[in-house]
Amino acid sequence: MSFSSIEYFIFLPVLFILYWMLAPRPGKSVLLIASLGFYAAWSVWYLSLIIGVAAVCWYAGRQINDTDQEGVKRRWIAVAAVACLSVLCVFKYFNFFSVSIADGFGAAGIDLDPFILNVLLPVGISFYTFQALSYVVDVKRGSMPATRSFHDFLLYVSFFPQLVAGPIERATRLLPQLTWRQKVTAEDLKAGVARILWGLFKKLVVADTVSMQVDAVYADPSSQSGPALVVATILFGIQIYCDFSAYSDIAIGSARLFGVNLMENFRSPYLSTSISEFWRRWHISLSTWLRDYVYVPLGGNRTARSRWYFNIMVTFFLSGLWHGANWTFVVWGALHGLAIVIERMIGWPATASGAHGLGGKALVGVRWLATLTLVMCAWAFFRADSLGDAMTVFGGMGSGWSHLSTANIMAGVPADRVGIGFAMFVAVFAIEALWCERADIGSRIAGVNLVVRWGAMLTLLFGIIMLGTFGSEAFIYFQF
Amino acid sequence: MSHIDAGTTAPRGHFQVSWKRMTVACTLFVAIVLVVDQGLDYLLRLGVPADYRVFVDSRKVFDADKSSYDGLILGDSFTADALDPAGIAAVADVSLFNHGVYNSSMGDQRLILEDKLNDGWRPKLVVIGLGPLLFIRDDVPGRFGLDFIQSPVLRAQAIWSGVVAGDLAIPFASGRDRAMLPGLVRVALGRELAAGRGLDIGRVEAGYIENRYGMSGTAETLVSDGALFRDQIGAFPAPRPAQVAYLNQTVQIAQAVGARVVLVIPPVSPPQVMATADIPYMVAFMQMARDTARRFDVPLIQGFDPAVVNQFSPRQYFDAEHMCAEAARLFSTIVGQALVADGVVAAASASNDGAPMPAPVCHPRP
Repeated sequence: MSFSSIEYFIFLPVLFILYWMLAPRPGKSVLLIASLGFYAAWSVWYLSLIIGVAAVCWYAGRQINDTDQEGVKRRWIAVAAVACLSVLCVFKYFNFFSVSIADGFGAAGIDLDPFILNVLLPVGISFYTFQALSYVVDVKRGSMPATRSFHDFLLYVSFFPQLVAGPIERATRLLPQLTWRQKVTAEDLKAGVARILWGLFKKLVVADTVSMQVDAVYADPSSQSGPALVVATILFGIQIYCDFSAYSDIAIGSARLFGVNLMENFRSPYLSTSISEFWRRWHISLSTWLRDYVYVPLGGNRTARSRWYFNIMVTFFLSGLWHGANWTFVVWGALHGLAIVIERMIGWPATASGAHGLGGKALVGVRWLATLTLVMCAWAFFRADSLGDAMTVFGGMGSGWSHLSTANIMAGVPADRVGIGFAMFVAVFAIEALWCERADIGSRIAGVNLVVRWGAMLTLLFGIIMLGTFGSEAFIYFQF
Repeated sequence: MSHIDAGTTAPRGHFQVSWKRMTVACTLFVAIVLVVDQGLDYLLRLGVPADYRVFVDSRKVFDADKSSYDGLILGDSFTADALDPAGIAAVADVSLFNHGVYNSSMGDQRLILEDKLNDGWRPKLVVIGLGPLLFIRDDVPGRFGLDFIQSPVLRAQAIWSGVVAGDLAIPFASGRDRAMLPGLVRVALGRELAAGRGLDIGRVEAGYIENRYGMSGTAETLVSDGALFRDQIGAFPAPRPAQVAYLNQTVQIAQAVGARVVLVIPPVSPPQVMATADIPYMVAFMQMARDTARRFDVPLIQGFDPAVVNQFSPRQYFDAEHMCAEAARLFSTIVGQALVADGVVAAASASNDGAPMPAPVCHPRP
């Protein structure tokens, strides 16, 4: 069940009414059953994976909590890590590594038939395994006590708004909210509904509209002109931001209707003036997860310079691999890691703060443009089906500039539709950058007077109806 | 129920919202949505491309006097512009209504036919105009407007099909044809009710919409103008199976009520015929048309036949694909003669000769 499907907009209000009518205790069970049912709409069988992962991590957390012996704690954390990572390895990475090993032997002249597991990738597997694992680590670190209730823990792992594509919540933040201390106010409802509409607008009006051009070009990059490849790559940067942040918007808005505050996942990432800053603004829940559970344990920056750079590269290598079992994602992650290492080496300022005068602002503008260019170029690896395709994209970008025409650029996709999607992105970008620095868009809309609020909601609703591209319900990050 | 407060004051429990106030607010919001939707629909209708608006109005012509029509012409803009029922009636003893809908898909044609039959009307002849784009458009019935559907049951069915297919805008009047947005802008700017691609619409008789303007350019201009069409069909190896299935269903529905069915492929402009000849989609499209004609044993009037194409000049086309009135009159005569030659209908009797029709003229496109 996708957030942009008709089923979800029947599911959500029905659950909302049921939940609050049955509050407090039965309501929470209704939320758990609904969350499991939400996932079962994709696959009933893979529900057992979530329950299994949750059971192992919950039990490991209790065992760690109940003992003072460091050895026992380490043993249980190893059990939880093996459980979570083996699920990830089998379902997400086994075929990738199997084919890669066979390819490696093939390059050495030894023909091997890769052993392929005939399994589908469970939706949201990377999100809920990371979430469950971080809980065990937090208990081990003493950041929080283990929960005694498996019911609550399973709800934490499977809470439907963020189950499939995040934000990757921390137990320290989400679990207490799910133990029935939450309340909902009229402000929450207004902000939640506004946030959902905002997310739908970004997804249906911007992401799904510009994706027509992206899909047409990336389906066969070798037959496209340079302008078409450049435009499609930039549009993919727009698409992936509006697709993924839209999912987060709808997740945060939906959770707020149940009195739960999820963490913000994006803060205008395309305003960044360095790659380091980009990762403080993009997929914040993943970057902070990797920082806290990979980068810092590796030693972070409190170590020798060479080791520091190594830690950065390992973290970003894992970030790329987390996104998908394909070398394109690994290269994408490595490019970002390399950029941050270079930034550290040359002392590139992480943010735009401290820029004074015209010269300083011009320099910030140059840094912004350079960062944006690098981010957009890296998206080509993220979007391409293979490294070969990505290289074809880069190889073809220089050709065909002498015959600029709409047909040459648009690859048969209606230019007016894509133009509307781009124009709406500019509007979204401006509103988020100028109006949402201090509060999220939902709270901003909820905070204005009735006429403006309803006007904004009606504008969003009719914008979706009249400009939206319907029919494609999947979000890009579902595959991760 | 302890946490629900039915009053208007905010309760102190977990749910700190008044259910009554929330219900009133939701109801009011939905009511405003419906009113705004209808308002936008009205504005859009004023500003839609004139050819579409005239078409929607022309449906009333059919409903007012449907018993006087022997049959129906279905299709998209290729057919709407190409077949003049009066031109056919001049040579064949048949009274047809051209129900071509701009930008429609084959699924829409099935809906239109079902709708007309639902009224109890029984055609003797159904002419299905096969435009290449009919078979590559999105498979969402009703996407380009439910205005041609009268039956509430069919309308509900079309809305549900659209919603199930993921188009949540289908239930909203103003969202049915999102291409109408430029119309709203025109209205907002206080412009004249401009036509879209029709620019200036001539007479509307029996559902036929007359394009007065022809292409004033050369064959090269037409080839250049047709690049978008070639890109569109070039993206597909063959007609979409779902749309082909809709064609089969449409033929079967017509035959089930005893109507004769004829397939017609209106020709695009001669230079465009040449430019598209080798595109795989066109080859597959033509083969699909032949296969369908053979399967259901129905005549196929092939407008891409060189003998037909050579009778037209680029000047007689509005753009690379659409005929202006002069070409439509000629093609309608060709179709009428073919219907008579195939024994589908009798030749027009001498007594049918009324006042001579005014000669259609293609003025240069402004």
